[in-house]
Amino acid sequence: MKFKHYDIAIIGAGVAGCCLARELSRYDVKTIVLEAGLDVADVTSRANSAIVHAGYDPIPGTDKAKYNVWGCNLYPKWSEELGFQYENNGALIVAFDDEDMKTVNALYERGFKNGVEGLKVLDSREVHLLEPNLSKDVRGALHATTSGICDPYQVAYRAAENAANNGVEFAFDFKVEDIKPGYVINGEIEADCIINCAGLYSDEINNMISDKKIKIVPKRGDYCLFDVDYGNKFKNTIFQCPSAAGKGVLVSPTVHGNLFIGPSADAWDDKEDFSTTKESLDFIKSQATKSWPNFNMKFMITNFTGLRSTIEGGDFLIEEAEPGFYNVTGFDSPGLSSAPAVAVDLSRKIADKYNFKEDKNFNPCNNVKKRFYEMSDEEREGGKIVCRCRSVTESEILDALHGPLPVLCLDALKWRTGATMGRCHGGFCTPELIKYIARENNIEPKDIKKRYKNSWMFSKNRKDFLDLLSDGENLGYNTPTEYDLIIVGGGAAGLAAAKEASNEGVKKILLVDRENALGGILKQCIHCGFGLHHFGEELAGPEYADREIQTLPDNVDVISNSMVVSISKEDKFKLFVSNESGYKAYYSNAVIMSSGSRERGFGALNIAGSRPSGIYTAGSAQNMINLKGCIPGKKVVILGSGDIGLIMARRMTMSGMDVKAVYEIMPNPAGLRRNIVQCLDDFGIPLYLSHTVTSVEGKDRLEAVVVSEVDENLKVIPGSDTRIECDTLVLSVGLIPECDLSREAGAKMSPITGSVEVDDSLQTSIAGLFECGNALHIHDLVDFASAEGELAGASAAKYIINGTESVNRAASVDCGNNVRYVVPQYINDEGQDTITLSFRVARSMKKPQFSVIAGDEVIAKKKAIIAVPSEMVQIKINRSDVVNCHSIKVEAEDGEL
Amino acid sequence: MASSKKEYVTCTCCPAGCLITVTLDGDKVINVEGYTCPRGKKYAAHEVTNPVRTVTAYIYSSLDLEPVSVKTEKPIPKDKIEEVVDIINSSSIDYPVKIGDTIIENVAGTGIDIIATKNIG
Repeated sequence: MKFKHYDIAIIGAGVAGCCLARELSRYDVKTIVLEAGLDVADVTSRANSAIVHAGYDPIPGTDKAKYNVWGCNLYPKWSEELGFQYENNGALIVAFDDEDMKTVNALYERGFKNGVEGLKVLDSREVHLLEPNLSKDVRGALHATTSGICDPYQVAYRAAENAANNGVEFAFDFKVEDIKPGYVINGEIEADCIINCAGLYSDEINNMISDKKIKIVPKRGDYCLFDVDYGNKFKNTIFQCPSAAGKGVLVSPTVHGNLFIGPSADAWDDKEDFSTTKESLDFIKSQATKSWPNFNMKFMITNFTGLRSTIEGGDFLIEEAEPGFYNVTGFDSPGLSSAPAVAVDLSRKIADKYNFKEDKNFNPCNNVKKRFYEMSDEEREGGKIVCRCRSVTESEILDALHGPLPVLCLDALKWRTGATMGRCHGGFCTPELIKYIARENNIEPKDIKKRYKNSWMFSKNRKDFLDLLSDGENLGYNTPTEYDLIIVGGGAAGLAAAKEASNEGVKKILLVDRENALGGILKQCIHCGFGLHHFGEELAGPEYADREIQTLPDNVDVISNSMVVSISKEDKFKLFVSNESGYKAYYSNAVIMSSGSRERGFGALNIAGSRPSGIYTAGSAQNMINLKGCIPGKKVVILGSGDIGLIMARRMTMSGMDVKAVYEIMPNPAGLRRNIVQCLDDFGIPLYLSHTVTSVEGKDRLEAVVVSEVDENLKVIPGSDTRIECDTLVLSVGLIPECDLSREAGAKMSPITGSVEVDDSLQTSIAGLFECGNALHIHDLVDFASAEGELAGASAAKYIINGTESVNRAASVDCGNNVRYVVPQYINDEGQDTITLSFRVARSMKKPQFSVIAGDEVIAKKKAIIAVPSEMVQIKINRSDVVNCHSIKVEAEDGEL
Repeated sequence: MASSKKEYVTCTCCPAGCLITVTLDGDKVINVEGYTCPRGKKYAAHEVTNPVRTVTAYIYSSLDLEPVSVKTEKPIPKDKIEEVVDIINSSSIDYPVKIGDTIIENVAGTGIDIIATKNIG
């Protein structure tokens, strides 16, 4: 039999293997990297602390000490050549007591011996000058100025890309099962030299060929990742002193602007299990509080676990175990920091031994294009934005899909481009990315993997999916750039705003929408129930949208597939819009934001367990089924009884899926009673109140969820767990207003609605900037979103035509007893006579009485049979009753029982 | 009244979700209890004697990846839902449709048509 021959086979495409491949590509040799997974950095390299350690920690004289300090010094140059993100942010090892200060001094001494430069011991004052958010209990710290942070995936990916560009081959989905002497791998590949970089599995590889058996012990660490709003809390990576009680938990910024806390460190006997556990997550929370007393779990966006491969003795094992068989193993911390140095050192040794010649064509640099989000307005050339939250363009997606390393799963695209890593967690762009992967790789959605070999994403898709892929037409790319009014978002609120503004006399109106057709989320809401208030009849979502679109006046220009990237105000508003025709500034006198909402994702729920495929938000599942003909799975559990979840229970049942049950953590359903009867009861789907999902199982695809009952304080009742087999989990756990553009423009925010504050004309704190629809607060009925759009349109018209410049806020609107929020937050001294206040109660109430109080006087009253937090209540007041008050208050009291 | 029987209905008119008891003599409603408002009384009687639903679904069109969304033009008897869904699921479209176009006539013998709720093709 003839084997495929290589000079060198590297087993494992983690950081170690990819860095080695890159260094070996300097020589004129034939190298292949064999990777069992579908992507580089698949296991230990993917999830770790992402720290480039300075090198004060390893014991002097060890390989760890040598390579760590050397590697740390190589990082700036490697980052420059290869184009991965690296930041020399520095590290503080903080001390809380005398014992810790001793450790700090000992680490200083050790670092000095290891040759670490730039170490300083700081006192409390110096530490707090550097990091004002650190706990006041910090007494002093070791400052390691050479310490840095990086994106470990990017380190491996960019090194692998450079290796591939310099001629190294990569074989993914290639699990080494067998090595014969002479080095024949799996009976197909012959290599003169093997380098074992197989991480957690490097013991199995070594033991196939060497008599010196080794054993890798996995160690697990859990992490919590926080929103970019928290990224600037710390500049340095904050370590706690290692003590008898443990190594301590660190708090660190990331190169992506997030912040994380972790890791826990537990011995772990399962190399395949990447589940977080509740105990570990609780542990890191409690430990992180010591360094950072003011952190708030509300800003946590996901948790994850990483495994490290440790070996007896505690040092790296880097050796020629058998002639031509090299181990790079036991590569736990500081493996990431050391990888470039190990690669440089070992590749030279191997080259010397085999007399490899240098490859004159070797190019050490990757041609990494500047990313859209990193560019200035002048540098941007535009393009369709696919991932809205992280501003990832279509061309960046296509570049990644056609790079030297194949994209074999959705996560490869995610990690290479940053798409899906923003605030919506891929809720919006996953359906789009599926289209790109399908088209460019010529693969049907049912064959697309999320991350691992069996992590399928759809059980079924329509057979003609690939034939029918199209982007739709782009509207209005030749429109002018000066308008009286620009409306951002062409859903129900935006359409209504455009119509009303035109009716009220605004001449030049532009409606910008990021999708290829107007109508917003109504396009995928194919069920009925829309329009009873607005049209006096019940319509399906697309019918409602169509009526609004058909009656859009001629003086409204529409541009589609276009994303507003920023809004600023000088004399006029200036909006930068990106689309296929370019990157252009548009100007207007007033702006209405009607950009809708996004769904709360899985990450925000802090559910423990693994991270398999098969977890969808209800809206994403609705998009895939109703707009793209892709069925997510076979057996479904739904978490959350919001209306979209209930509607999807019925839709998925009708589409042939087996919906097991709906679980709701609150004691009351979140959705409309009608939907519970018609979407669940009609189909025999049970609804469990006061229940939630506490854990998910399955490494590749979801295999089961664990649900538990909760008490009145929403705490899990011990022993109430039930395991439910399912391959799909659909989440309907709330919507969040998409008001980021207004926030970034400087509009004042409400901490309760999570959106901007407005006055009764729906104007934000920025004169001429209006907000309406779900972008302002979440509506139960589209009819109310339309009504709000009309008000915003009329208000903007008044503002434009009268040229009002100042915002005269006469009174604030406050939340009284049992009221969670009220919109608007302010009443102006002028405007229409009647003002509608929209509010939600804080708890379920029977026969409530609502009242609006100005001073001592009740100015409006209303009764109802029932009020629940999930149903918005509206009450009307007269402006004349408010004019002389500083504030008014909305209250809800229990009526007679 | 040996032939009378009781049916229980959750009212969908508002979030109160009153559990209403309807007493029937054969097909005839002879008593309604547990409602709070007149809307509930009317709904419960109707839901017990002649429950109907508007069915919405989608049909694949060979002209577009986006399926044609459809609905029953009027509510159909509740016990026909499954049959109607099966008929819709086994249909396909290879021509352009406009909102309101009839896609399937007299579905499952209900006398009610399936009509498009989206313009496709």
